[in-house]
Amino acid sequence: MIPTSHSVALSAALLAFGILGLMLNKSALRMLISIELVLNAANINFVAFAQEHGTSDGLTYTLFSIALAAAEAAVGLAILIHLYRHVRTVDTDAATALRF
Amino acid sequence: MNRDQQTWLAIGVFAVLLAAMLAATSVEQWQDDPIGGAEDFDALAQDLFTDHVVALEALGILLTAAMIGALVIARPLVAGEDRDVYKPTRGHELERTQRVSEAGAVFPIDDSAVPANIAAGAGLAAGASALNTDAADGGEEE
Repeated sequence: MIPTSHSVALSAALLAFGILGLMLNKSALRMLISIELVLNAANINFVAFAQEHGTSDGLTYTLFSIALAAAEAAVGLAILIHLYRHVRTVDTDAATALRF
Repeated sequence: MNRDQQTWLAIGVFAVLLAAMLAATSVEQWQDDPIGGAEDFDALAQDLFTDHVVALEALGILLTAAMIGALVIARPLVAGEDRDVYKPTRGHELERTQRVSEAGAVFPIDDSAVPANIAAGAGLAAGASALNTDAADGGEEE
């Protein structure tokens, strides 16, 4: 089986790239993708330590996390579509007003 | 925080997390193979539908609500019903938005607040006066 250290390292790498993408990108779509990377890093951590301890609690939390990530992605994309209809771009720097 | 500071902060956070990644590979108690056995799906199903059934049902309701909310937010616009809610974007407003985005400037929607140096630097010197004209036109039309 894969040692836990490998899974934790992969999780940390995904988290690092996700945060890097979130902070460096101006496109809202790329930011959403980076957020998904961060969420999946946490999921890998849950599964890795579930295997480490031989319990299924981590898998339960992973399933909940995946479902929440799906809901967040759906709502985030809907907001992005709505925003695009007003400012005609996905650049977050162009969305400076709280209402249109 | 401007763009450069944000970039350096991102690089710093990235470096810290990469260092944590390398440190994780050297933790002794994580070097051996894990115990395993978490892939017992019968136990997982029992756990979900006994200990965590309330959270599972709440998650289902949350997913349904999120789906309905996403459909409402992203529904197609109907010209008659939505005219009072959504102002249709005119052609020159689209052009203005695109030029603003390309210039990379961050400023309020109010056109009169466009800094002259940013407008001039991005080649919008003529456009800046056009922006003010457009704003005046928009006010007159409304």
